[in-house]
Amino acid sequence: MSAAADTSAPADRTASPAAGIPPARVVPTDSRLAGLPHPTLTDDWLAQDIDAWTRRVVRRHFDPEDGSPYWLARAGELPFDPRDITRYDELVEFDAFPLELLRTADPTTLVPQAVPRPLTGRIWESGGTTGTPCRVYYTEDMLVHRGVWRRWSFLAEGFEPRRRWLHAAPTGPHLIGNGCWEISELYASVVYGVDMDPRWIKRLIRAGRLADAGAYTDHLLEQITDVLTTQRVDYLNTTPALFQVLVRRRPELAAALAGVRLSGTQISPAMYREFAGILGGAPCGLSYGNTFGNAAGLPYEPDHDLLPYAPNYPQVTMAVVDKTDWRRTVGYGEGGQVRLTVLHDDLFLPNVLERDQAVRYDAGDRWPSDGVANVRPLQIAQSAPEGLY
Amino acid sequence: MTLGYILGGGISHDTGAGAELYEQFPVMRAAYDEVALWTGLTVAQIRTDPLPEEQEPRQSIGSIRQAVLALGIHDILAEAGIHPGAAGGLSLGAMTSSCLAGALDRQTFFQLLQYTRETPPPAADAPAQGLALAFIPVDEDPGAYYEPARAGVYLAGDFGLAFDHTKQMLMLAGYREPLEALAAEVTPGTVVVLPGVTAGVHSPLRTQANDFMAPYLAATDFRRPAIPLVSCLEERTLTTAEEVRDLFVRNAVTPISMVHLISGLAANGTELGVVVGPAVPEGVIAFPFPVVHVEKPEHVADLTAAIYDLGVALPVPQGA
Repeated sequence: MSAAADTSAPADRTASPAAGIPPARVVPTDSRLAGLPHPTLTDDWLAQDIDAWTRRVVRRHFDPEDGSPYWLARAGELPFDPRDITRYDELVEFDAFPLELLRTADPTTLVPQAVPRPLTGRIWESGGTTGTPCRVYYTEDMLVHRGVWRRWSFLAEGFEPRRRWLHAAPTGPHLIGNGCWEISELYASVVYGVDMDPRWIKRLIRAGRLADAGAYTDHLLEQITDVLTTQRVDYLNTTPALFQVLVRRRPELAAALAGVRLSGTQISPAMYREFAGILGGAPCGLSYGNTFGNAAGLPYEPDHDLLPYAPNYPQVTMAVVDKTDWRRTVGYGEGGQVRLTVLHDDLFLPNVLERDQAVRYDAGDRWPSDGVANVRPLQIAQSAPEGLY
Repeated sequence: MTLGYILGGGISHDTGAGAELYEQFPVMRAAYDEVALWTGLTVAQIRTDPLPEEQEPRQSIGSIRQAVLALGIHDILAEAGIHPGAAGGLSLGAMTSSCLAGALDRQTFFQLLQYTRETPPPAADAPAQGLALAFIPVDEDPGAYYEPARAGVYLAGDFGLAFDHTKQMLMLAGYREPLEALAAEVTPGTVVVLPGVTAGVHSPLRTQANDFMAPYLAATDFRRPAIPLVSCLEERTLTTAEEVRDLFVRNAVTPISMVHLISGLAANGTELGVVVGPAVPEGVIAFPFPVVHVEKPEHVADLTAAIYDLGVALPVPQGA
């Protein structure tokens, strides 16, 4: 098999347990995790060799007996034998993952037969920004993976366990809604909730109905302020857009919070600086991601005005690629389209081309893979440098 | 938070630019109809016909093509309730943004662009002129690329550092022969001579054309800009009619600066930039604020989403 050059491959800087090299760690196992479930999982994941992990996941999904029905059916159409894949770089051979499939197919067909049938649990849906939503099935291990990484962020950012949160974010079919469980069960906390419908907001915005979107935002803000003014709440979890409205309309409520976690809509460095200023040193944590995979915010870098993120390694990796050639990873500091690869034991989605663009971020020794920074919605526009004049 | 409009420079050779917007939005078609009425050109001449061969008519119609596209996009956004809080542009974009800011009315502006075709052509035996873009490594002295170090090549524009901060991006004007010699001498791709451009704009080579337009500009009615109008000639916000006139008078013979334009927009509160039309490539310039490009119908929704997500307060309509 000929592997296309892909410099996003995280293997070079990845510590291999077999080689005896200490793994990259940002937050060592913390005393705040005492008594909480799964205290060492992130350390274990960060120590994984990405090539070995790739072999493990690909072979599981293409196992003739226990593989996933979708991938076993695809295997015959591929111009190579996926069981021959030995390196993460070689995953580009799979081509871009057809997201249309996730809009119509039974999501359980992507789950290996090794997971006992009949399957029980939730189907989660994407936001549906561009058309009907994509659907995926999450096994319990996958939910734990997502939640434990989120908890890793809480620790890294300075959020304390056993506190009180307001979760003002989508629920229903949206995986972000499972954050209530993550906060309460994995971080021993109490959670209030305000539900929002992201599809309705997006529909209003795309139709140019900004006044109606504003009215819906007012409706959400009323519910948020009701909780914040009548209950004792330490932390708020919401979107940057909603927090921006709270900051503008009720700055005293925003400033009184002990911390804020934000995800779900784009955030600019200027917004982050404004939020950090009003919080006066209290944590302002960020996440980037979607139903398929997430990335934890790393500290803001004022010198380069960067808001970086590191993916939930090794099950989730991200590359920043040329918008016109998704197989080519751009150089560090350059911009391009986000390409996501999902390598869960129970879900394999290689080369998902996101509707986002970002700057390729070098996390150095802090992370075993590439990061992404200053993420925002993808724009395809004239881009030849010769077009400057 | 303010929405800042950014208009690029150069004339449009692209006969397909803005076609999807033109098809989809009646307000844009109306803008073309108006310009056709004012200039005596047909809509096809403005939009889709190949540009004339002669230099000045070519420059004139190419300018009109580029300007009406930008103003048409402005009108589409205005119809959606989106208006700039500040504006500025490079070269032709500086003049178009002046019109957009209400510093001269549209009819006056397009008739001015139409009049530029009367500029006397260069002498038949005059050496050919051209423009080039230079992408110079940050550790190199850019002064080595133009006068006085390089005879016949002038600094015509400063686009600042590239997005990845590895290159300095300049525009060079000059006689075609020394420009091409320079391009051949340096690492391939460092200096790119622009095809089809026959005027060494933003340099002393345009003095004759500039002098020809001076009386016309002196008689043109300028007004105080209705919104902050950022200059590309120096770090300055234009606030009076005479300052705008001065921009028009010096534009063709003065180097332009994206650096001044960006810093001026930021100083006027821009926290979301809108690149109006296809004249500034996406992902090349290192803007200090998020930027949305609007050159296709789907970009209108992209912009609306960014306005909502970033909490940009939309100003009440002023200017064009």
